[in-house]
Amino acid sequence: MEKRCSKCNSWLPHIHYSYIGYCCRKGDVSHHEYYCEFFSELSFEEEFLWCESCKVLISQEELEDHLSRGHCLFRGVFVDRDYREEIYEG
Amino acid sequence: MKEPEYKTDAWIQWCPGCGNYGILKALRDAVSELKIDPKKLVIVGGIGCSSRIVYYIRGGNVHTLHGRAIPVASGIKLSNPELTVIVAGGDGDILGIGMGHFVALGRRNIDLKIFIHDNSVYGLTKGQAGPTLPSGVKLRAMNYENAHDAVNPLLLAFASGYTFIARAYAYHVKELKKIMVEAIKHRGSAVVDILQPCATYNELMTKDWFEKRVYYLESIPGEKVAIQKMKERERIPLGILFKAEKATFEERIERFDVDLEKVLEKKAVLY
Amino acid sequence: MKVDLSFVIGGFQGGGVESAGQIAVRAFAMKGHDVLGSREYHSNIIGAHSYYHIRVGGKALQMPLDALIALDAESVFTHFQNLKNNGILICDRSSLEKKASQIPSMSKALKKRIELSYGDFPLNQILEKLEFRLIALPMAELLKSLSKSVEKPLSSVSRALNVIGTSAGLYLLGVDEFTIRKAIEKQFRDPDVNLRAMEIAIEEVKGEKRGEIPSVEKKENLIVSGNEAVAIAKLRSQIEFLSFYPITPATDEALFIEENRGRVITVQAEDEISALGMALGASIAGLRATVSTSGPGFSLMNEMISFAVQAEIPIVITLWMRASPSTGIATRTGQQDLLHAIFSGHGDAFKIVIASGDHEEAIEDVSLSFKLAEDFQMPVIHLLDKYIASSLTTVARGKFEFSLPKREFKGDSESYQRYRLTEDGVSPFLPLGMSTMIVSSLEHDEYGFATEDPEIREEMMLKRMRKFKKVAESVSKRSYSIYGAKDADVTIVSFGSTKNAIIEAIERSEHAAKFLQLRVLSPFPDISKEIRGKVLCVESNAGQLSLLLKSCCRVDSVARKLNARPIYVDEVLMAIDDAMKGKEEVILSEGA
Repeated sequence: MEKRCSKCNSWLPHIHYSYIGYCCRKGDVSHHEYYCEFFSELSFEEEFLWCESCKVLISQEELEDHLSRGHCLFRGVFVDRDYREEIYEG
Repeated sequence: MKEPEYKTDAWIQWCPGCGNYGILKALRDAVSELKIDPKKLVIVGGIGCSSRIVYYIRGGNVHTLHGRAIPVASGIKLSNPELTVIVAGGDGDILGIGMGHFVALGRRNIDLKIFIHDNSVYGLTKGQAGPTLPSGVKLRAMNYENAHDAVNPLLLAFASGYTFIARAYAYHVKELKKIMVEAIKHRGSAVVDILQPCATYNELMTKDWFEKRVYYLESIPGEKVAIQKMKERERIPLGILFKAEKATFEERIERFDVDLEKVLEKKAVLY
Repeated sequence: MKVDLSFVIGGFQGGGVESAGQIAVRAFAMKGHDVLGSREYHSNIIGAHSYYHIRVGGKALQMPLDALIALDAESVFTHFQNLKNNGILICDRSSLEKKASQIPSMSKALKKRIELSYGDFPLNQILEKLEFRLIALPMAELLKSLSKSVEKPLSSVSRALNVIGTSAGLYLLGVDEFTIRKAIEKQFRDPDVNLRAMEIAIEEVKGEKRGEIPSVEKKENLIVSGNEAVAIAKLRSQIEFLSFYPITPATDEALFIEENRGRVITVQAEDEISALGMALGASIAGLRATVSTSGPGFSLMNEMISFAVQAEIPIVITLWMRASPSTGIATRTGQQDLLHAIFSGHGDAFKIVIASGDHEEAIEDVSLSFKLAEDFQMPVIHLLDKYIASSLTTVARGKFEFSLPKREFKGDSESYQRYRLTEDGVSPFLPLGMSTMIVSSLEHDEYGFATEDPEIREEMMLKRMRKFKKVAESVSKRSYSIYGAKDADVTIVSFGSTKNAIIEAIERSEHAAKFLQLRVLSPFPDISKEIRGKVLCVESNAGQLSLLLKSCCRVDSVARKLNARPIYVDEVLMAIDDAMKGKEEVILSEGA
């Protein structure tokens, strides 16, 4: 299994920029091709998962379908801390 | 008695036997007892037979729209806390079209008094079922049996946050006056559900019908008993069912001094 | 050499476009130029596309763009067709691999249009065939070096990327580093990371050809959005009561007032009916009261408006129009409530409707509205729109230097008649608390008692009609403004935010054109003597002003903007040409 942050169980991709993400273990942002000694393989055990290709949360039932279409799945997603200051009323 | 000060010279248009006569007398007696200056007395009415009371009592009165007395009264009271502001409307007005405002007032606890003239029909439009008419009842002006069930104004007031909840009966003028006085003296949102017969359109809930069912509470019950009493339908408890002290909306808003120049500074282009 | 630029900064919502846009607007304002920053965003919390369209050296938007700062692939796809040849296109290198079909947040319709015109190819293949100055920044690497050079962990990735892209863009357009630095410092509480991002960006594009932005005469300006301008104007006008219900795009105005309210009573109502009801109650009690809302909320307020007319209660309602009908598009603009405003409230409900053309007019019109409402004791509807509400622009600080005196009440409270019949129709006003009285929604006599008497009814109708006539006399000198050629071949008639686009267009047009901007829409002024040549009516709706115009003059041509975007200068130029050619109707469709 190729070692990189984007295949690690502790890593959440940024909601918009696929090449950057947040490491829950280290509490810091890293490039998707980076990896460290704490690498552990990505497992899809959560009830809801983040499909990076569709930019939506999907349920376990939909997992099979998205994987078969070659989509990139993750355990969750990383949102900038201050995004609330950058949005407008809908 | 300073009663003449609160009379106006408008001809009272209510049908003979209308409970509104009792309510009018009690209200005039209540404000008279409290010695409220008519200039500082504000009666705000919606639309309906009962709301016409704004023409029959001397004050700075406002005749608004169907169901909308509460928002207008809220604006008035917040603007001038010295005024005694009383909302007078029918059950159709306050618990039908005006229901949203009735609940919202409970959440605010503004120092307003809501006197519901509750006769379970829409009198002025000729006798349709009102929000407090039970299902299955057919009154003379209705085409079919009532397909809606009655709302319970007391439980609703309790759930909304009113801090004074009482029920009274239009033709027991002395007791009604006493409850009105207590409601006016209370600090916060007060509602009095005043049951009344409609001599023209409600042939079920007549004077006799009420006299057989109403009884007075000896004292303000604790919360648990109060809720049970509010639910009672066979026999109707009258009196103050709930009273609490809670911060009013007026007390919850912070007013402070602001320097607009500082606000403009934040927006200035710096060179 | 006059600076005249038009550029777009685009990105995903929540991703820093707002900060980037503010920095850009501020940077140019700091050099002394006129700036307008129009914000376009989705009715969505996070993820959809949003952008700033910025104009420097003018107050209206125009195409084509001189530059496109696209912080993601969707921004490139959405705007590249509006970029001029040799225009600057700044984007993230990794965006170039993306195909339109791979972007979930992009609308299906837009994907289809791109596929039809260019095929479903990756961005770099599409851009190869076009002639832009492409500057593809290696954002991933730049972000790496930013991470390394700052001590704290990067929790705000998007903002940093935005600052990199925008700094590079501003630098290439010709803004100096010092100004960009100052603009960033003002934007963030903790600017260190972002200043470093700016340095990295400028380092990256150092070799590229740059424009030149000179400093010009510095005026005492503020940068405000329309919402803020009106909010500050209301505070200056000494309002005492504000009630509101949150609705896009009016909420920000109410929240700004609430935040800086001081002694103003502010209440968040449970619905718009209650909001207006409370404000009317406050007005009857003597306070200067106001509400602000948008189309759907205004629909709810209709019954209360009729009440205010019948009961003669002063009130100012600020109506921020948006794309309708019904919920429409909450976050986009339009001018579709003109007739709604004029004819709101059932019955012969006479009221005043004032429309502002831009931020500066909006500020003046706020105090004018309160004055008219109180002088004539009727509702005044102040008509604005989402485009003015959300766009940032430079406004002279002096525009806010005014104050409206508080309401004054004089009168004998003995046998006070709230609706006393007078020659001009206006009865002396005493608030509740100063006298006994009756304020009534029913037809009433002079004391306010309800009546059905035919003579009194007629008297009261005539009284209100007399009052309305007096309004017309009072506002006659400011009901419309004229711009352009005296002997024109075409007269453009319009109202509201089309103003600046039309003014610029008639200056540039080869035809002798004149612009009649309606400022007061009710009472509708007599404009017949101002008409010269062909009449072209420009508006962002299906034909509301043109309907009114037809009652007083011939309308030769109509230009309608229906796509929920603001009007651009070049569109108006085209409409003038079409009108002169004899075209009766043209639909304006610019804007992304």
